[in-house]
Amino acid sequence: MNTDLNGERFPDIDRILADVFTEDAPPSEPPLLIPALLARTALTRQRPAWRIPSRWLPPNIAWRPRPHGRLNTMATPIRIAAAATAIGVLAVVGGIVPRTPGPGGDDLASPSPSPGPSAVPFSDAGAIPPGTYHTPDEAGGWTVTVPAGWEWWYGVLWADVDGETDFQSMGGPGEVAFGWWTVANVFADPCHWKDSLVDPPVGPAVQDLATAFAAQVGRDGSVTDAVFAGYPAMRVELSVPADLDVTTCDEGVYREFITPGESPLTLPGGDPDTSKPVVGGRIDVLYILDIDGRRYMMRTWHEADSSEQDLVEMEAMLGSIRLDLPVPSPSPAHSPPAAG
Amino acid sequence: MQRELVERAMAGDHEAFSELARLGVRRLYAVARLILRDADQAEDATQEALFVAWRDLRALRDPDRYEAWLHRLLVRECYREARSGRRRTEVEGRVRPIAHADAPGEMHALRDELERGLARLTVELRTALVLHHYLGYSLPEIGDALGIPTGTAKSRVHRATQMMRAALVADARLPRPSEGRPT
Repeated sequence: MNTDLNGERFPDIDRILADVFTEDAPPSEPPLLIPALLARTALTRQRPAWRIPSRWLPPNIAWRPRPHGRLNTMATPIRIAAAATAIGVLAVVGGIVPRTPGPGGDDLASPSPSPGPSAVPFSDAGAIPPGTYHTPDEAGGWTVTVPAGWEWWYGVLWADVDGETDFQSMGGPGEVAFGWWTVANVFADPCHWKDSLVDPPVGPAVQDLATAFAAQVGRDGSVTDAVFAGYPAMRVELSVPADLDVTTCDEGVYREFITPGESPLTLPGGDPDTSKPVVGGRIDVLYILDIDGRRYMMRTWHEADSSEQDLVEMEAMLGSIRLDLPVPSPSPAHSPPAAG
Repeated sequence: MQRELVERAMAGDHEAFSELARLGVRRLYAVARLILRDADQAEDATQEALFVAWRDLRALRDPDRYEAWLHRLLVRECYREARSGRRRTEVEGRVRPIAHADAPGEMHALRDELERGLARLTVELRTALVLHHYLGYSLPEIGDALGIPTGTAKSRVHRATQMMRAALVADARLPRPSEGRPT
């Protein structure tokens, strides 16, 4: 404590805080922290650079603490695996019902509040047997019924087109895949994306995001009303230019959007060192929905040479998706968009 | 050496990541503990940040930015822990003397006010103070770690500092025991 010319006492707050923090900082970490961490990481494969989804938390569900928190010495291998899976498992989705005729009809469905009793959690990245799967996210999740021949990889379901692991890099012959993303902003030009983030950033409404995607340079975008997993949505169909030479794009990457909190140090949109280049002719179909003020986006994509069977299976899976949410309270925001 | 470890870990070398984790965990845990003021939550946040670092390491563009990126992950996990409302112990309120006070009574009173002041700060403001005063981050570095503009980082540090100063000034204005404070 110092004293000024009038004898008034005042604290040298900067010095005090620095000293207090230094004194309070523990001299070592808890002894089990590193062993528990390494037990988890040893069971966890690294994700490819292009795939860094933001955490998907259903709306209208208050945060609930994790039942176990960190792993400790009591952690069994099962707990370790479950925790690692819970961290990674996030997305795939639901019931896309275009308002134009499509699988599932034209009506708003009642969102299913919970998975069926036979739903099982996704266990790990890789090929999965057919069945109904539920994401074990601690705050809720979603359920999807998967046929044979599909792979699961951190929130994305991938058609197994060649018996190999197709999920490890994006963009390849015949590829068909889908998963949830949360979008913070959009690049106006996905090829020459540097300095092309939409400014001011895309607004919070479904329409804002749909319009921004549809306006991307060279994407030939179209927007229609749809229903997805029982919720009103906007369907955006976009193409990647057939004659795209991705090596001419900024940093050799075709980059379409960024996720919330995305670090400028990372490049989730694609990394030429770890992913196959985006193939011209790819088709993206987005379903953007708003649930009680939060916006979600299901992204599907396929290549020009994808098989009809894989596409049909994907449509069926999308139609099977149920969000593990309470039924939203009626409000103007959730009214079906006007047809036509 | 760290760059080499980061590059190896980015290529999937788990041993290299283990070494990286061991090298940095004490400092990470200390930061988490100062931000969260709860040992269990700090342990969770630290483990989670390192786990995410391993999982998403391939997304790091510049290996030299590993530490800054890791601190950003840690702050994110600290916020998540703070929001969880999960608190297994009371807020740490150790009353220990610090070197600036002039007398034992003042030491305890000052420390007590510091603890109260820190506990009253939001986790965002406390984080800004910890990054600034413990890690020695500049305002642009704080902005980078928190994903906020430098101006916002400056505002947070200033506001948090003002609140802490106000807490101590209020304490200084109270009469000392020897000056007739009721006991």
